[in-house]
Amino acid sequence: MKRALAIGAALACGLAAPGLLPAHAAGPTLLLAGRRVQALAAFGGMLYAGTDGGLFSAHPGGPWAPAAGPLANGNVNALAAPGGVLLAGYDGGVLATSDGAHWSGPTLSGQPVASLSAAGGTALAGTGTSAGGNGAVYRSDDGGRSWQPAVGLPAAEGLPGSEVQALLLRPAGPALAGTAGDGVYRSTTGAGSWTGPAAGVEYPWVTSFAVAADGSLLAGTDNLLYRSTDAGASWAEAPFPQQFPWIQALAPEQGAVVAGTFDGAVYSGGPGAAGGGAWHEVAGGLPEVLAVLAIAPGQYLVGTGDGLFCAGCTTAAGGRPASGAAAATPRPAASLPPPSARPATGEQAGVAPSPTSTASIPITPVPVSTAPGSSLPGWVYAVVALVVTLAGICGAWWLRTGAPGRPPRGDP
Amino acid sequence: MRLRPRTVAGIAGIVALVGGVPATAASQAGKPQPQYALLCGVSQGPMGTRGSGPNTHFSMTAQGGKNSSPDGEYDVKTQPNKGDCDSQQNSGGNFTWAVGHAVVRPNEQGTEHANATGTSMVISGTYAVTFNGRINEYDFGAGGDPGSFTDASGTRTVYYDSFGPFNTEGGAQVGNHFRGNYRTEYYQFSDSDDVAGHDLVSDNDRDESCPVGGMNYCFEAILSGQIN
Repeated sequence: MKRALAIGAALACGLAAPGLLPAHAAGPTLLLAGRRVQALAAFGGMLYAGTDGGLFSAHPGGPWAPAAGPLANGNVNALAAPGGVLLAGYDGGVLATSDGAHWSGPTLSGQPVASLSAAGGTALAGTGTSAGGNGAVYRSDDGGRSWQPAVGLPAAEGLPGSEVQALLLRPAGPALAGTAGDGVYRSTTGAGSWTGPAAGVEYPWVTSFAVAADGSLLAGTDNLLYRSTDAGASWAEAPFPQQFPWIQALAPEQGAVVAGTFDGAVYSGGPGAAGGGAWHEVAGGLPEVLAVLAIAPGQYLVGTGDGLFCAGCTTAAGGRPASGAAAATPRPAASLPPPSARPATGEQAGVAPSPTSTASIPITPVPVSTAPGSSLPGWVYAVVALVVTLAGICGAWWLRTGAPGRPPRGDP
Repeated sequence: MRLRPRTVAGIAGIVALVGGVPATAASQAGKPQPQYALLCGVSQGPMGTRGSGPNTHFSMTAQGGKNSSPDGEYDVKTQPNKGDCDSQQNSGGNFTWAVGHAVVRPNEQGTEHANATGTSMVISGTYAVTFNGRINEYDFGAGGDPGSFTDASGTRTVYYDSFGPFNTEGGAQVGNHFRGNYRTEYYQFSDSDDVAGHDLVSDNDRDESCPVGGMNYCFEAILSGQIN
């Protein structure tokens, strides 16, 4: 009997050992699989993820699930929260909600909205597609109900017409528009009169903007990270740990900036950050990163071309995995690497910088999680461990009580 | 036969262990199956090259027909290999692979952004297909060294090699989202039986479409992914 108990205990304990039962995943936790997560936001105590398969949301600590409403199936490219409204930009315009349940709109109807940015009660929306010619910027001061200019003519407003992939609107200073292949443009109002391209942006595929901890501006492109100390009038290369980095997403966090790369890595740091502004990697080995959002100190939601992850999360700050989160196998960061290729791959989309700064999200423990390298959700491991434990207990009980039909031990 | 209780307990543990070990996800029902595509076409190379500084900005387009395999593009059952296009016939222009914006650094590497169109490119035929990736070798124009980059086929003069992820813009909500990786090559090609670019044996037409030293370039794209 002792041997049987030992076998059962060993099996149960072996499966429950760290590494086999990922109660606390060492790497980023997969929260939502099989979706291209293009935008992230915290609004009204909820987390939101805009994907190519609709809008998803989660209460902190709760599971990710499709959001109700007209965006259940849309291609959501951008999110922003001006004042008490959440705006969602998708292929057909902008929808607005104040409670996450009831939506109004669309406004900018028919326009492919690729990017959004907000400051105070003002929002900017950037439009365009990869075909070009329809890239414009609109401004709203009423929570997305109306936009200026009424009719966007890129050339008339000073824009080149290429897709506006990134926007930066600040409480003070000119607005910035990052274009797909034509550099950075500036406007004092964000409602027209754009000038550019700004000097110094040698690689003009601009994906993202952020304000660094020292107040300077950062622009991510597909070959370099740029920095401006004159409100975006001119730019120069900024240090970054990778050579020719493809920065696909930038977002503010407390005292630093978080950057996501096309090569599937996430860094924190930047000018003015602790440690002399050095960048340090907080996650790697992910699919191409399309959006990032700091949700708590050292914890980040990471939207990728193949799923939503939570990096640095030892709690449920980023929500729990969606039902069947691991049903689709996440695509690895790199594939088909030729011998001389640099270890990199990824993809762009109409990616907006994360619209909200560090969110104040309550933190609760998460019991099990799923590592990106794991093919099954954590609860499966837990069930396996439970079954094995029960098998051991049953074996011990059998030995102690005897098989059916056999008189209990001790009976006369 | 009556099993000893100790044996039963051991078997129960082992069955529980074997039945529950999540060795792979392959046994899961509903796991997306691998999907492959082999696209063979012809391109005239980069157009609208601009910028004479350290970077080259360009665009280019390739057009061609689908794989002549009776399985068709998205039903290729096995992973295509580089060089597979060299035994294919061009069957007309039903796909376009267009690089709209790209940058190459002096080290002949860079980035590319564009999309693919063609009714046979996506199962539903309704979703745009985008690709954004890394250029691994660029040998067009002055300063290039075509032929320095070799691949497994061994018979191509390669001018351009790129790779990256591949996605349809939409379709995820209806299970028609194709996601995976791509790799492209622009090259020139001649059979051993060719004379001055003419295919004397007529074993295929790609070597006449893009002979070494000509104005056109063969295009090959290999897509590997899954639909969900």
